[in-house]
Amino acid sequence: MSEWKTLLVELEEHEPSFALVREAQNRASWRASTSTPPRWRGRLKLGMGIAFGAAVLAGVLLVLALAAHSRTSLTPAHSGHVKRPPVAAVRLAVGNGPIAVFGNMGGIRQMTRSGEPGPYTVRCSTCDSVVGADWSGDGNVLAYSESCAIGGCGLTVPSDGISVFDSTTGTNRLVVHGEHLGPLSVSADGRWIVYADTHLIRVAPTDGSRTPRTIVTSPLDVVTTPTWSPDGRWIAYVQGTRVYTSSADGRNRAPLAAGYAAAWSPDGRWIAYLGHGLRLVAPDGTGDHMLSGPGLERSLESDMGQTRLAWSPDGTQLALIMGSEVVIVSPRTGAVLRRLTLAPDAFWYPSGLAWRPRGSAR
Amino acid sequence: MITGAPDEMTELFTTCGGQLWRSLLAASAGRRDVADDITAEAFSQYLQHRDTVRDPLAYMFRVAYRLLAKELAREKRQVPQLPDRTRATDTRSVLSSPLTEALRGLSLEQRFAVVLHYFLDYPVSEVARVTGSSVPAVKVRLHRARKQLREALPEMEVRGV
Repeated sequence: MSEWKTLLVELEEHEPSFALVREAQNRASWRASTSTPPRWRGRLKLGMGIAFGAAVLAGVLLVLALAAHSRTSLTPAHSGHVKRPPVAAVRLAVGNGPIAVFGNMGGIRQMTRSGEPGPYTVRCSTCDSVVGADWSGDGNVLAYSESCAIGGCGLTVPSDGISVFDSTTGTNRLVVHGEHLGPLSVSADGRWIVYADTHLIRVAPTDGSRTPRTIVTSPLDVVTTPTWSPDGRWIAYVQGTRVYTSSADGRNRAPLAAGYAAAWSPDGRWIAYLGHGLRLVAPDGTGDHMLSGPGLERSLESDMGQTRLAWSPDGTQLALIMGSEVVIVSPRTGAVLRRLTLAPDAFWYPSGLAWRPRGSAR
Repeated sequence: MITGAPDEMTELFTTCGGQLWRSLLAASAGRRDVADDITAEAFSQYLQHRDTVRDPLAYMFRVAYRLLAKELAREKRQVPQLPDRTRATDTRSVLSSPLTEALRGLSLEQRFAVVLHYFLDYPVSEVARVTGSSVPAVKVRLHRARKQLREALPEMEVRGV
């Protein structure tokens, strides 16, 4: 029976982490806080069972009817068991405002067309680094996450969180307290922020009226670059090395592609991501293709997984920030339209960019 | 907030956590991420229902078995859409390559039968109860699993571990 001993000896070499106890407690607490009172549970289960049965029957009949009617096979993206976001076609009536970069430059700073540092949109008060920022669809609300790294020798003293800058009143307000909060996205209507919190994706209102709600938990992989769909019903995000979509409440989670740095186009047609190059894929998983215009390969040569993406508010351009360079790409042809090199004398290490909408809201 | 007494949870994890986690590691063919996720989920479900649970380990095993079957079925469905999934799965295994391949050659039912019977010393009748199967079916699974593992791991027999 040496094969069993082989298995046992090798299994004994591995140990589970005690952090799993904490994770189990968190999950149990989350369920307890959202559970339905027991006396309604029986009725609810019965009702849901009947509704589920009826829905399944209706779905089967519908699929049969459609298949018989169209006599065409379903595409793989639509025949899966997971619900995927639809490919929207949002009409945009908005122009492109200034591009701002953020990182270690003590705030969010606009760039001039030549790449020179322009005025600060937001200047951090105590922290030195902005790790995520995004504008609402009307260009009035800017949310940004600050991260402090005070001290040396690896000692960090975080005192950070997410703040919202209202450009109509010129006021700043801290709406989420938290440490090491990551990239974020503001919904087109400016009401919600979805942000990465290491192993969690959370949603918070921009007015700070409610506590953030966790919609995705990833105990092992780090999650990052969450991005809203234009209708605010779906999000895309990166978990580990894979792009996922899910509905805004965290349900209907589905892998979309292998890659990182996801960004949902403002017109809802595409999700841009990086995976062996700059790629576009429709939110329902169809049409995955790589952009390969003149000059783009050279731009991606030095990519070390640090590239961030941002769509222009009118959806006609895609901006990548790589090292000290901002590259503007046409999502239609893949051609590099513009290349802005940040001022070389500035000790800037930009971690992302925010492209402000200009003009009327969508 | 559901936390359970810290000592109780720590003790339970010390006594049951390792067995459950290693069983899942073997049943998932070395997938530490799957073992972590499902162990945490099984413990959390136990925490929620611990007032009505008589045997925590058996309860968590039933929960884990159901979750693992669902998870692996979900991954299997997604394979056609994700061509590199198989490769990614292989690289995630923390076990040695021969053992991972040998375990991947077994069905989930076979893996669970092996784990419960040979790793946790469950009698065949108990394996049948936990996996919702019959005693003859479990015996057949164990027999076939043994044969497949013996064929897949000849060099490890030579090693005489």
